[in-house]
Parts: sequence; structure tokens; C-alpha cells
Amino acid sequence: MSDAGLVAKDPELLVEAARVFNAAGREYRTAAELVAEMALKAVQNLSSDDKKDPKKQKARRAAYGDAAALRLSGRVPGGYQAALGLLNAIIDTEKDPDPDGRLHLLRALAKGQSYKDLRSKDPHDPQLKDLRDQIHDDLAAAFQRHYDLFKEKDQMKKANRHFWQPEPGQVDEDDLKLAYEDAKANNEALATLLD
Amino acid sequence: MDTGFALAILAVILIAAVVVALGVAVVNFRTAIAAAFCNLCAALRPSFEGFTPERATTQTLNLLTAAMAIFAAVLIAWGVGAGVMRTAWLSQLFKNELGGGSAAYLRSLYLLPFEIVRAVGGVLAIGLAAGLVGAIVGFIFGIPSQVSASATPPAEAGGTVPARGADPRQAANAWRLSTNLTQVSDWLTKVIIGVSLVEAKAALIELLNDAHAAAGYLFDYRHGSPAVLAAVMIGCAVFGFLYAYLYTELIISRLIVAVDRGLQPGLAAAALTLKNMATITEALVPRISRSARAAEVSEQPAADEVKAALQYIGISFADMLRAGATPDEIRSWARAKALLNDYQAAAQGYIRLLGMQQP
Repeated sequence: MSDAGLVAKDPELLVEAARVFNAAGREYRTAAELVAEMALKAVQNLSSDDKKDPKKQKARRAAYGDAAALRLSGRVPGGYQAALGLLNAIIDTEKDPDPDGRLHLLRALAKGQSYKDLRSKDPHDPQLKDLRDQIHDDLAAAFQRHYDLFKEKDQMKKANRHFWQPEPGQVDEDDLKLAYEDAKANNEALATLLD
Repeated sequence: MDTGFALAILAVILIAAVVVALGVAVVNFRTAIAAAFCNLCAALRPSFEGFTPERATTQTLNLLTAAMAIFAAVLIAWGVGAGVMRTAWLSQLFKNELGGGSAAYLRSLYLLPFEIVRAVGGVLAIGLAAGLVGAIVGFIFGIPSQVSASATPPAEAGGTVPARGADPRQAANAWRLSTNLTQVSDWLTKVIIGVSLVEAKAALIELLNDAHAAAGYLFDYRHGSPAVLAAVMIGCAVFGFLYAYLYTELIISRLIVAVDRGLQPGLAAAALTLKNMATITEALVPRISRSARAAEVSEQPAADEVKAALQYIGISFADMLRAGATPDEIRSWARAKALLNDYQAAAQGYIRLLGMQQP
């Protein structure tokens, strides 16, 4: 195997490279998506010993988060179902997998997209209430974890408000808008959390 | 015995001796000869699969060396022929002078090797001299110029954006290689180009006159020597220029960059700081976000990390490759560029580290 092949197995390098390609502009978008997928495969193939290494755990969280974000934004196929599969796999199976709340926020967004999908099929589906509650729980966990780490109140809420209160004409990222509006109409905790 | 017949016999003997010598060489050095032949073929038909700068550099210089070897072989063959022809001409003179007989033949026989050496040596000496002139010009044209930190383009022009809290003055280095030769090179390059544009015709006429004069001294203007020596002077000057230019650009510039980097006191420490910084941190590069609007979180790099990154201002990816940087050094360089928000430059480093193709 070439040196490049050996290096490519290092998940930390792959995550770092994918993020640099993503930040480098349109020209490198495909490279970012490709390398992010390579990073995901690399962390999925970690041995049980590697999974105990704090650096590798961080790489694992980052690779799962990046892969879920790419699916939720439609840059990588799979949509919210694939993103939910990835996020459930890491949040529900690991001890403290999300110190800054990012993965819980992404899972709330994935459930928000699922909510939109379900509601477009049947606005009175009884599962909708359950989904709103799940979104509330994930967002509350995300905000709390972010505050615990950075000690800045409401920072995450302010940075992500456009997901439930998009500016006029901006509908491409309104993942939580319908869930928020329905929660507000029913005076639910989700609306209180997001206001 | 007729002079022409005697010379024909001498030529046959000479060819036979060359064939025997070649046969002995092939038997004794067949592995080395086969390797040299393979290298020559590889140089003439370079492969660009698995492209790396090191391999491309080797192939470029091999190709040029092969072309020079072929040119030298043609010159030597012509020199041998000219030596034999001149001996034939001289033997005719001896025959007229000595009235034929064994004395004239012996004198011709005695002179033949010297005439060949004289012809080949003369042609090669002229070629080497022309090649040296070309090489000096090529070296002057090929010396790399240094971009100082203050000379880096502004952000609006595609330059780097200093990280928050960074003081650009920190990028100044205590020691630099002497740039005297670079300055002389810049000046001479401009002068040579300027003078060449004005005096090109006069220079060509002067070169042809010199070739004509050398043909007169060496071969009494016989055997097409005025044309051949003009070709020798032009060809060797071009080869000398190309070889020295490429050698300076591809190899000597690497050494200069490597030594220059060695003179920078903080660079080794900077590389270590960047190597040891946390790998997955938003201070280095934002995470991939669901949103195209803003980063989910923003972290600040540590002051020593910013200081380390600033050491890399003015060092391009090409400089790193020229200096033969290791993967760790390339990663430190790429991280420095990412910390300075120059993600396009940083991407080049990661492409190299992952063995990918530039998009």
C-alpha cells in the first residue's frame, strides 16, 4: 500500500482535510464530500481499543456530525433518514458522545425534516406530537450541553434561529419551522424553548 | 601502395578495433549498459502515471540528459569522420611532398589517432565553452527570488487573511539568506533580455563569424565544419541554458529554500506547535455545517498557535515541495494556512497528504 493509502486511514486527518476542503470554496466541495465519507468509513471501522482513545472519540463525533450535516443539506444522498441513522447510532450507543450539543442539534434538525415530510402527508398524524416532543428533548439537550461547555447563554439558539424562524423567502433551511409553529399553536414546551 | 587504399585499410582496422572494444565492453559491463540503455529509453518516453514532483524532476532532467548525450554522440561521430577525412587530405599532401612510399603512409598512420582526437576534442571544447556560456545565463535566469512577508498580496488580491489577534510584524524573521545574487540575477536578466532584443541580429552574425573562424583554425573550412561548428555553438548553448535553468529551478532552489528555512529560528518550533495542536477544532477550520449561513460555533486559536502560523507567511506550497518537506511538515504548513484562513492554500497541502489529484 502506498503512503497515501496509509495516511488516508487516519480519521483525524480525514476529518480535518474534509473541513478544509469544505471551507476552501465551491471548487473543493466534491472533495469535501468525498473525504468526509472516507472519514465516516474510517471511524466506523475503528477497533474497540481505538474507540477508547479520546482523540479517536473526538474524530468519531466529528465525522458522524459532518456526515449527518452533509445528508441533511442534501449534498450527500440519504436525506434525514440516513442522517437519523447515523446520529442515533452514536448518540444512543455511546457514553457522553456530544459534549457541545452539536449532534443533538443535528438530530433535532433531522427530526424536523422528518416532521415536515410526515405533516405533508397527513397533518393530523398522531406521531407528529411525539416528534415535537422528541425535537424539544434534543434541542434542550443541545442548548444545555453547549452552555455547559462554552458558558455563553443562548448562543446556540441565536446562531440557529433561522431553522425555525427563517427570513422571508428563505425556505431551504427551515427544518424546524413547521414543528415550531405547531408547538406554538398548541402552547407546547418546544415553542417556549425556541422563543 | 595507393594512399587511399592504405587509409581504407586503416579505417577498417579502426572500425574493427572499435567493434572489438564494444564487444569487450558489452561482455564485461552488460548489466550497466543495459541499465543505461533502459534509462535512455525511459528518458525519451517518460511516464506520467503516479505523478510526483520528485519523479517529474528526475524525468525532466533525464530527458534533457538523454538529448544532450545523443547530441554529443553525433558530434563525436562527426569529429571522428572529420579526423579521418583530414588525415586523408594530409596524406595526399605528404604523398606530393615525399613522393609516396612507406614514409608517407607511416606518417599518415602516425597522425590518424591524433587527428581524430584533435577533431573530436576541438568540437567538444567549442561545445563545452558554448554550453558554459548558456549555463551561466540559465543559472542567472533560474535563481529563485524570495517573497518577503511584506510582499505577500493583500486579502482582496487573494492573499492570506491574518487570524484574529495576529500581528503581521511577528512574521518577520531574524535571519535570511543573502539575496545579493538574486538581486544581481534580477538585474542581469533584465539587461540580457534588453540587450538581446536590440542586438540579436549583430550577436547572431558575430556567433557565425566565430564559428567560421574556429572552422578555419581546426579544419581549414573543410568537411562542412563552418556549418557544423555553428550548430555546435548554438546547440550546446541552448542545452547549457536549459540544463542550468532547470537544474537551478528544480534542485538548487530547493536547497536555497531548505537552507533559508533552516535559518529561520522559529520555524522548527512553529512546526512542532502546529503539529501538536488539537486536530479537530473549530479554531483551525469550521466544521461542516447543515447551514450555509454561519458556523455553528466559533473557537479562537491560542496565541502561540497564531504566532506559529505567522512564521509560515511567505512560504508557498511550491517552496515546501522544493525543500522536500516531509508529510508532518506539510501538515504543519497546511494547518498554518488554515489558521490564517487561507483555506485554498491549505487544501493543496491536504490534497498532497491524501494523495489526491488537484481539482
